[in-house]
Amino acid sequence: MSLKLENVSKTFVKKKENIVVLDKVSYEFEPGKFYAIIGHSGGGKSTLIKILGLLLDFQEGKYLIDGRDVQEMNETELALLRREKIGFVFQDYFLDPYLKAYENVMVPMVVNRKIQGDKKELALSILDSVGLLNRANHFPKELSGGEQQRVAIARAMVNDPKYILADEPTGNLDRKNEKIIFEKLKELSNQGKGIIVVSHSMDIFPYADVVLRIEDGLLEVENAKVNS
Amino acid sequence: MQRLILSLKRTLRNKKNYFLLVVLMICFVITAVSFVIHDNLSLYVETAQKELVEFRSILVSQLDEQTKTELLNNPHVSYVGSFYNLEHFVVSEDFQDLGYNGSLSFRLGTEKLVPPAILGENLTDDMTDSIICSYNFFPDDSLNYDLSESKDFLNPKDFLGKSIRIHYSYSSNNDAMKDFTRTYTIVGFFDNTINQMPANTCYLSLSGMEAISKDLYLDSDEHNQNDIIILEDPKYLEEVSEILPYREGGYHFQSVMKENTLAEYYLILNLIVIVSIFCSFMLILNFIYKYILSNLKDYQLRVSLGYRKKDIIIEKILELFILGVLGCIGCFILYYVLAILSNKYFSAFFALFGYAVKFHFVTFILGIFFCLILPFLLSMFFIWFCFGRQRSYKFLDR
Repeated sequence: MSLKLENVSKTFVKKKENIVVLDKVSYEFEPGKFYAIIGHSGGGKSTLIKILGLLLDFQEGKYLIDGRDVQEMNETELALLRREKIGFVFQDYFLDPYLKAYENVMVPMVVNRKIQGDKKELALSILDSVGLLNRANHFPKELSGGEQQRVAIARAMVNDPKYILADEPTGNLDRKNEKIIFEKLKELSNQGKGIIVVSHSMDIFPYADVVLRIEDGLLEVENAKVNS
Repeated sequence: MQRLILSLKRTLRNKKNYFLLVVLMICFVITAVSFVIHDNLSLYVETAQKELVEFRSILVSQLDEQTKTELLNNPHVSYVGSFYNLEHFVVSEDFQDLGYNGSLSFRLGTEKLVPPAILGENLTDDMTDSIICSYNFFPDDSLNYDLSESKDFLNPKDFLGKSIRIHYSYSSNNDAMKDFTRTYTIVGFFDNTINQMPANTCYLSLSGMEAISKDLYLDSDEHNQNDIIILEDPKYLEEVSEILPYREGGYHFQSVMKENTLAEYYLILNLIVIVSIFCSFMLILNFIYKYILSNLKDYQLRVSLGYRKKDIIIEKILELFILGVLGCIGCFILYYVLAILSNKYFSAFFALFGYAVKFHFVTFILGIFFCLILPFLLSMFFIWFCFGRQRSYKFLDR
């Protein structure tokens, strides 16, 4: 399943002034690769990842998922794509403070009828895969920033999506936790998932297969490794 | 099912929800009690309006013969006479079947002859053997009656139509104590607090007054007798008072409750209800609105997790429903406790206003409707409205 952008443009209107955030961006993302999107603040990184995550509309161009134009899809189809094909990780984790770690991981599952079996067991096994089984019964406020982000990754993984999109996932973390998060994302990439990470950190380079830079709304490939 | 469990956990673990519930319950109490007040007091006002008889008596000290003659010649004066202010005793054996044994002190009303009855009927001039008693006449300390042993407040209605024997004793001119007994029927009750009268005061009609006067007048040597003038109609009060000799500070006329005063009462009662409903409603709506806004990021996060708008609306409505059920239970318990407290411990207090206040289920339902169902329905509409037709979710902008 590929994510293909064709001349996608996004303009925001602020005080009657048009601000072009993405200017005819074209690129095709493939599963099994680790993409790092870098660039200055306000360059359009977050806008791009939101468009990829089907959380934001755009004015021009096409965004094709498996050859289907998302702008022709209805609300339910978009929701199903977000549910089954795309996992999202945020800088601020956005964990539910009133739910325990394993319950947070269960949140995307309760609306996914395709998941069979004991959902709690599945949530625990996913938490185990990010090394947090012993923290399953803790509330977010009882977890460190790195642990919270790993719970967020577990939540993004739980519906077994093809892509995981992460918007500044290590923005609030120290280098040690940053490394843990990048290693986990790299591990997922090696398992065949497409990982698209927006980051300010240069430490992401060793993990990325492709580094994309966005400057003034224009996307360019800065560096691409040969996929092993 | 798992969605319900997660919603339940999220709702119960959020302490802000308990604050919302407390606000909700306070608003419910304000609204429900305003309904109770309206329900009970409007009954009182209605009864008072129906039974209202304007006062038409002037109490004066000893009148001279010339003034008496002048008053008697006035076509608007129906009675000029004297009456006595004596201590009498009631033999309460007639009430033994209602749990009373003993006696209580009793004296004639000296200020008004025709008070408005709030229960039963008013005295007419020809009712010789009828009396109107004070509303809290029976739950009085002077009775050998233990209120705490009673399951419910003793309703004065039980005493309507019952007979009461009054034993008069007086000193005669030959210094020998004399006495006689009369039997009266209780035809009504009046509100002694509004009339600023002691609880053990009762009223006799004009003919009843005359009958006692006839028995006592000739040979009594009591000096604390008063004169009273009774008019055909209260509207002649000022005209007749001009005949009376000058008195510093004027004469004490009984005030006349006018119809517009009653209208004002109704207006106030209705305003109490309207204001309390409005305040409660707006307060709760405001809280729920803030609650929804504070959860907006949470809702939109769910969009990124693959929830459809329908799923989010169902989840949030589920949470509001859980809150609503908790609120209903809390309100019901609070209402029940209030009803018990008012009926068991404050019944005597409410009786001062003329009624045993009752908490009707209807007032509970009305309170729940205005404080729970209506604001929650509007909140659900608001949630639906929030998610309208938007396809973009700007919440992710930091």
